[in-house]
Amino acid sequence: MTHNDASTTSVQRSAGTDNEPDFGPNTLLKVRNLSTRFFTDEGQVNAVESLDFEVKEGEVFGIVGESGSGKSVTGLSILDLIESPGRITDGEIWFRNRSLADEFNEQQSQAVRDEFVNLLELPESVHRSLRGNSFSMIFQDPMSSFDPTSTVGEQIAEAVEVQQRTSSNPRSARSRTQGYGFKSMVLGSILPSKSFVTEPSMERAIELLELVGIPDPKKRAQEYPHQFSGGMLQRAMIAQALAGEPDLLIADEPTTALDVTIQAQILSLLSDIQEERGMSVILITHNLGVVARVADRLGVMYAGEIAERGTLKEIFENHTHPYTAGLLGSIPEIDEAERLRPIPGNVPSLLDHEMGDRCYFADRCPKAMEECMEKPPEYEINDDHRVRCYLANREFDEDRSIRDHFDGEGGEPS
Amino acid sequence: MSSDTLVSVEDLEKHFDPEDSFLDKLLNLETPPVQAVDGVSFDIKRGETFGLVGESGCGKSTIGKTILRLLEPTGGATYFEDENIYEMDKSELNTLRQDIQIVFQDPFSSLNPRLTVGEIVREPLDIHDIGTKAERREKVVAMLERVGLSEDQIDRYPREFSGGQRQRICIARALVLEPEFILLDEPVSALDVSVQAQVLNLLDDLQKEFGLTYLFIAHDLGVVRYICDRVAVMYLGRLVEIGPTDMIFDDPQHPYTRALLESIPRADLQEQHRTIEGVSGDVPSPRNPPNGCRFHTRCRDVIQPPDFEFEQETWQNLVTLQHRLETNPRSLSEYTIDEDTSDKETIARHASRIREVFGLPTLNSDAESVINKAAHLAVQGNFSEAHQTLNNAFTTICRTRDPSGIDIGEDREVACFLCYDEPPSIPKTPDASTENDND
Repeated sequence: MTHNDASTTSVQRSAGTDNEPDFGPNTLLKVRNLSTRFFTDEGQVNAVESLDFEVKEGEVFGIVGESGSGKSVTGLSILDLIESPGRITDGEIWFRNRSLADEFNEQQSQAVRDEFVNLLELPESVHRSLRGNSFSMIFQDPMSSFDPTSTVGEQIAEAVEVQQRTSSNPRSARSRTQGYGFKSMVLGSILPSKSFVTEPSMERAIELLELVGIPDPKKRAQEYPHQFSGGMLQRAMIAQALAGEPDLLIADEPTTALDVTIQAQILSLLSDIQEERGMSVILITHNLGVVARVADRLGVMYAGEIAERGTLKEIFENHTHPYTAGLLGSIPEIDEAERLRPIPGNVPSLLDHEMGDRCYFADRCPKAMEECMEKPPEYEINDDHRVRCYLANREFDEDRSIRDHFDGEGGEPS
Repeated sequence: MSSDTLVSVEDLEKHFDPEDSFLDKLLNLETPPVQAVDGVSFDIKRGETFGLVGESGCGKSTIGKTILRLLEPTGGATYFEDENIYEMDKSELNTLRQDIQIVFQDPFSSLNPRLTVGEIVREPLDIHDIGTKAERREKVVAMLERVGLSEDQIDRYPREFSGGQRQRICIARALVLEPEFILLDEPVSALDVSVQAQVLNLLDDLQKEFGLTYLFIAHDLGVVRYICDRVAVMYLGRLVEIGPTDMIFDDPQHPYTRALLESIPRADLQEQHRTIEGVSGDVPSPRNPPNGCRFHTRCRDVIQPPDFEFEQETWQNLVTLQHRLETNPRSLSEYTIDEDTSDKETIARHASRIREVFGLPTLNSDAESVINKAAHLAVQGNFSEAHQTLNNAFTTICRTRDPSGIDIGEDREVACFLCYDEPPSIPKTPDASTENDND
């Protein structure tokens, strides 16, 4: 493990505390201080806490972490798909969109900076109209993400139609099935010819299916989701997400439900499409191999925070955070077979009253020191590398270790 | 069978035959059985960890369940210490169950939520009536502590534990009878990586301590490499390759094993520069598996017919077309034309479209006229004749004969004609494909 020799690097606290966001020339999305909480019967769950990261144009940004670390909630927060009892409680999500920026510059100048708009301050209807056109999402389980009662072609065509209507009238994002109720059902059974999608959008759907490499797209478009294999259905979902030609695609564990040979196919499809269209992708996964395959930069999440973020090279070779080291040390590699160095203990609870105001990883950390009882700020190691750990500017000091303090508190007996 | 063999599986076969409904019988519709496991043989040595890998649906778990006789086989035998477990009566089977145990994949559904941890781990002892009450409790506590839980957790319920801890409880339950053989069916695939590594290390330690023999079923090849001594790779109900773990991973011989290993993304900085020669397409249905070698429809190295010379890619595409014509010709109906159309130009246009879609360029050889004829037949909707035309002209050993596992030395067996010193000749009639080829 190659630790960055932090004492010689000029380390400064990152500029995340001042109020004005600064945007790089090719930033597409900048998330600042984002917090998402769930208010459950058992208490407040801090699923995502003071998250900072940015996605550049045309890059793949990977978010890795274990289950329950807040990866998916981050993705859903950007799309504003958090449902009750959850709520985004704090933060800003800046998205580059010139036309919206011009439009809102006068009415709501606090929501606009240059070409960027703060999605969280836009009206709900505007935010909604951005879904699909500006950003869309691919979900983990293709089998449960499609409606089993209509054909795959219809579902993609419906997405196409919504996008078209939105682009002709940016404030409307209704599908024809919206408000589908008992009346529509009765009408639909009396008039079986009532179709929810038009010819041209069906044709576009078939084009999209062909684009994602589905053989016989014309025929497959008329089939129902259960007639597709898992890999094919995942391709169909990618087609659906591409319907609105989004600038940003959020892929939430897009290959987790698939076999490795199919996973390889889907990953190469994703990176081909990404390169071809020059769109940005946020890739959420627990598999470091997948990230290594397609991502340019990544953030490692732990207990709702980004513990460490930077370029792939910085994170894999120069990681500072002991959690990143632990995560990399616990994957069994197929090229070598040495004894694994697991992280002791379990993934922490995210309940507010159980979390305490310290570094959340301290109880599992082999290098926990006295200062870790206070929450570490995010340190900037260099332009491409930030970390939330005191080890960024000091060496581990055995005398100040507090490992003993945590032993017996959920620690793993050796 | 050598004395150090604990479990020996011979020609195991498990077909799931759906009960034909009344309507099926009336209409004389027969659904072919799902050939989940079709003629699998291997030995597990005492004290080793034997890995069984393959993609979902290849029959790994069915083998596991059949070996434990949780499912009755449709053919073949499994010997546990030289006794065929399918011939045992109830009481013998009961005794056997003390020696063989299982840990399931999902620790959330394999523990009874209404029993405490103590009761769960004690249950096997109760069933087999071992020891007094006090002795049982003592055993349970010792076992819980051994797997990394503490005595004061004995009265808690499964829901109070995390996934990794629950899997520890499952392991304790399997170990409490002091079995010799444990079937681990994807024991870590539901766990997070950091916890997964803890459980793998625990399994490794327990094996050394108790002298256990494991059958480890997994789809994660990294995990298999880490824990297994020998590995068998499965594809569509058959074994394709079997051998010591290091050799399989460092020098895979079967094209499927190679493709499988290639497909895994490595957590490594060089990963983005690595080109993957993976597999195209989906796994065929086990109801209607391909003839001959089951992998030949997706294989990159499928052997060419002796009298022709194709680009390997063209040849592979041709094999794909042949397989489609045989198993699912209706999927080609979008290229067909109306029966009464006799316009030569239209037919030729459609025929060249089929060739384009399947990647069959114009060739400068005898093969050209055959392919052209088949494409014309297919366009006119005459799929079976198109299939016959191709079949008669291009026969590959991979389709006509079944590769039996061949010993390539160093304790390895591969079921692929590429590994034969001299490939067996192609039989004259295509029916010979059903016969097994034992040389």
